[in-house]
Amino acid sequence: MSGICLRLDFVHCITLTEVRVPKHTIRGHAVKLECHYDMEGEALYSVKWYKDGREFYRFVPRDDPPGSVFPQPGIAVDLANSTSEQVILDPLDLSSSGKYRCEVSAEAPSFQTVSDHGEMMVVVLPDQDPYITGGRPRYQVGDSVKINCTSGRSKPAVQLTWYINGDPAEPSLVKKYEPIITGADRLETSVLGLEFRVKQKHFKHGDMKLKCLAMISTVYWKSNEESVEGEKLQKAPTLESRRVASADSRADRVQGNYFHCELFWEINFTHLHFSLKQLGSREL
Amino acid sequence: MNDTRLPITTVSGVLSKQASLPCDITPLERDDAVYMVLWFKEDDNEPLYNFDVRGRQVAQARLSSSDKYFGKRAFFRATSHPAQLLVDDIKLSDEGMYRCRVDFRNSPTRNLKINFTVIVPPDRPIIYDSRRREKANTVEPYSEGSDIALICEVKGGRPRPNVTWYLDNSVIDESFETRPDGTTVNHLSYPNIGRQHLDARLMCVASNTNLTPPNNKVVVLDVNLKPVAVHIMAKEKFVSADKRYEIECKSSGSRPEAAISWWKGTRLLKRITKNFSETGNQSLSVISYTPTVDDDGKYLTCRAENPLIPDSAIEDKWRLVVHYMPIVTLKMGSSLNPDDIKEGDDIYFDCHIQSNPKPYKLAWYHDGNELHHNVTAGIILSDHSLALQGVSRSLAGDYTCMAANTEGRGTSNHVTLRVRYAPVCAVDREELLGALKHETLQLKCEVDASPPAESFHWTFNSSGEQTELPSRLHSSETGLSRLNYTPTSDLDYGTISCWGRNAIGVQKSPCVFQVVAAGRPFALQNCSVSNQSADSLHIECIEGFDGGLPQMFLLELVEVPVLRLVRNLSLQHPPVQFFIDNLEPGSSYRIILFAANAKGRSEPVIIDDITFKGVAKYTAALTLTVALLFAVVCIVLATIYRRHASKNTTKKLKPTKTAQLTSTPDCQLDSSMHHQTHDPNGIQTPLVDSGGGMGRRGSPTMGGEPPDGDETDPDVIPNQYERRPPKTTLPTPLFRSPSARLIHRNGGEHLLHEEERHCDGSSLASLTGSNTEVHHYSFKPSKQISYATLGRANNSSVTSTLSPLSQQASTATLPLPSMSVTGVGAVGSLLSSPASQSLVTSTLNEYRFRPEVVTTSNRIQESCI
Repeated sequence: MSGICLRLDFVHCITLTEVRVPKHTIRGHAVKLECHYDMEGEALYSVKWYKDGREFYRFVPRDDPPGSVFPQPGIAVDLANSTSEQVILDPLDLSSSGKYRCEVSAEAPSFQTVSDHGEMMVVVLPDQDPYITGGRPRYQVGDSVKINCTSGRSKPAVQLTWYINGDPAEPSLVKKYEPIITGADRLETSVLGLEFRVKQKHFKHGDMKLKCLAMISTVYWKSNEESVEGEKLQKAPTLESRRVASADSRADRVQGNYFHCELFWEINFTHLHFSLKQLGSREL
Repeated sequence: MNDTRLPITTVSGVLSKQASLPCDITPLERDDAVYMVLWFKEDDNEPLYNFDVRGRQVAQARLSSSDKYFGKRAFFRATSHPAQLLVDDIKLSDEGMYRCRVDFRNSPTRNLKINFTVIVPPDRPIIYDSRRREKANTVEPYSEGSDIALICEVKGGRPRPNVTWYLDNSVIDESFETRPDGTTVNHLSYPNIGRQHLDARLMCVASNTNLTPPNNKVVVLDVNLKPVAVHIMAKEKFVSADKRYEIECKSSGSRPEAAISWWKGTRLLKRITKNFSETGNQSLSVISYTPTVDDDGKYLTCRAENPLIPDSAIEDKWRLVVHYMPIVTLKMGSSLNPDDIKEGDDIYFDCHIQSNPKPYKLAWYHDGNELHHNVTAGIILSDHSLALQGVSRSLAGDYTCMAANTEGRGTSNHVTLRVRYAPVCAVDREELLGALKHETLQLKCEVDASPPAESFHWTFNSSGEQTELPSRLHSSETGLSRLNYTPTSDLDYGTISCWGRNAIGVQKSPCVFQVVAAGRPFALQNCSVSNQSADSLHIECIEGFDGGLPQMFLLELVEVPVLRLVRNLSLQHPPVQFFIDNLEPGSSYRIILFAANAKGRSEPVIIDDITFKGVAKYTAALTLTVALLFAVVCIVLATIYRRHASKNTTKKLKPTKTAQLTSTPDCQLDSSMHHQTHDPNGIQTPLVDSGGGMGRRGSPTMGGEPPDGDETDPDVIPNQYERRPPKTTLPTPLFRSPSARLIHRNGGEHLLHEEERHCDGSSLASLTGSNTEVHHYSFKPSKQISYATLGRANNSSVTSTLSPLSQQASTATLPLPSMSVTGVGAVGSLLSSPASQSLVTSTLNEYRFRPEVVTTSNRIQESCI
């Protein structure tokens, strides 16, 4: 990250203690970018923030006012709330995604300069849960199953996964499609197919459970499941009723998930995956 | 700053050189300005250079260069566009990624990345030949037509260099390879070096950057060139033998200078040649050459060669045409034996001529005199031969032939023609010797002969009898015999003949000596007066036969007309030269000259009319008289001749001796008649009496005075033949007196003999009778005025003379009648015409001025025939 300081004279090396840039942010929300440093007694000459190499905010103590903003697409600085150690972007746009670098320079004579950066991605969550189409109420052994799972529009595209009786479907049974891009904001819709011939083993205790899981990185997590009865069984469950019930609960959880993530960030922004695991365990 | 979107500029710098790292600090907006420039390398936090303009003008910006990096080597030049960080003395460690951060007052910060590479130039290329010998020299020699194979090796270089061959400014080989040991190699193969490559620069260039001039190694081609041209300058159409020529030969194109050599045929001429270098690959050679006759037709070759290039020689040839003087060789005909050529043989010579150009003339010489074609004389000139038919000994001698052409004349060796002949007398006339009885004469008989005469015999001839003289009386040596002869009686006087003999034969005509009894000397001859002054004169004579006894010479000077003896001079020995002075001016004199010996005086020579400032009338009268007298004499002669013509024809048939005896009185008779009849002065002519001496012996027509009584009387002039032995065949006796012999040596004899002959010519004709009568009537070709005198002081002088008309007389071949008429007519007219008198006088005057006034009575007689 930052360069190694090998100065051995009386002037100490300035250090960059932390540059905090959220990995994912939600479109339309605000974000606070933080840059923490230790001047080790040196005077500060400048703090500069770059997005993708282009400076958009500068804090120079000798300037009046010390903070200044250089506009560029996707950058809306809340100058009033930005200081020598943080900068507020509000609101975020899809084009706000990028590499954010903080560069700190000491005053003369050393002009020591340190910098670090973080990647930030702005996310648009799906406007609806994934849904399964093409299924029949009953299948007998030997019947052919041919169904699709479709996500809601999002950015980036949702990742879909099929489970059969709780196990990930073999890749040979899965049929992939290119995401469908729609709308002026070019949001994407994902579709994933599942095709196989029904065998005895697909029934566990007389039932066969088919589940579609949709997720966007760690910020979105939802599934939909269908349970199908075998031929021997007289009563035939309806897929519709069950799907709706589970969909609600899942949606809440996802929402809650996001909240958890946010908490984790405050503790340690580098261990985001930990909370995701917890979520997974809860789902199953 | 690892942002990949930052612009990256790639920049190179050369090790140890200055490099420039660009950084554009120009603000995007006008009202903006640079605030600060920071230079970073790699990820180092500390800037290696800063340029702080805050609160300052750009020119006064605060600069700082980190010692950790460039230190004093770096300087940021903000004024250039783009601004640049100049770094001196680039080191390998300077390589890397640099970032330049430019803070502006109003604009966003500009970050630029500079990827800086350090270039390490390669070592200097090294050129090797195919045997890996290094070509360290700048100039390498190649021969025209050869191939170039060179290797260029370059060590090091980062990045590896391109190694390229250039010929002058063109790339000729770009194929190089890099070896694992770090060298880069380019093998050059370039065929057929030519003249156009002279001084061409063959260059191996090793280059790995454009920032600095590439390293190179140059080889300048020093091409050895073959000569292109060779010319012998000014080949003359022909040259003359033995004349020195400076012949030039020029060659061009060779490098280094051509070696020029001269050849005659296949032989190298090492003689005087000078070689000169000239500009532009030219060379000149000058040979100092003297052609010889043998060089004709040979080739003179000039050869130019570059010694460094085998088989590069070229030649120019000149076929010599050598002109030379004819080379002439003379040989006697091969069939002839030059040692055995006798008179009468036919011989020939061959003249061999070697000549270029051909001779235009061939001439033959005999003892230096040119010979001409003369068939009559037997001299025949043909192509290259000379033929002589019937050679006589006069043709003996040295022969040469000469041929001439435009180069000159060539004369042959001489070939001596020796003609063998029987002895002939060395002296072709009789010798007259007078001797007293018991006086011993030494006779020397010299003969010419080839081979020389070996033996001699002598004969005595008297009264038709010929007797052999005993050999004890004579001694012989080569070509010469001597006889001691002592007459003891009258019978011993006569003709002695000497005969020589050699291998060819006996002498045909002997050498003849007339031995006569000693008598009075002969008259002086050719007396002449010279150096006459007012009162002196000089007289010179040639003495005559001494009569066989020692003679002396007397001179009497008589004044005329009184006939008084004024001087009496004598000389004991020749030469006969008198000097008389202290003479009286205005007087006239007569000079009388005698020779005398024990037997008496000779006939006198009288020189009249010696005048010292006197009057010439007398002389004129005298000469006129003489002229008239002569004319009358001739008329009379002509008349007499007619009368005697028939008589002479009969006499001719007589034997020689007889003819002689009869003819002599003719002369005397004529003379006497002439004098007696026509002397105008009435002076008695003693000549009548003198003729009588002869008549006494045998003339039938002439009665005369008693013959012998006059021996001691000087006044009586006897006929000369009185004391001479009768003639045989020789026309004129040769007499010798001591002084005459002396004169002989001095060449005076010639004159004497001439005079003798003049008289003899006519007398011989009359005597021998073998000639026609014409001779009797021929005038002597003499201009002399002759005098004869009978007496001494008391007698008036009696003279006879020859007219100058005699000069006009035709030669002996003229027919008699016409001559006679002409002579008479001419004289007659003189006599009758007063006008012509002066003519005669003047003619005589002409002679009087001549110093030669010589006469003898003998001559007068003969002249008047």
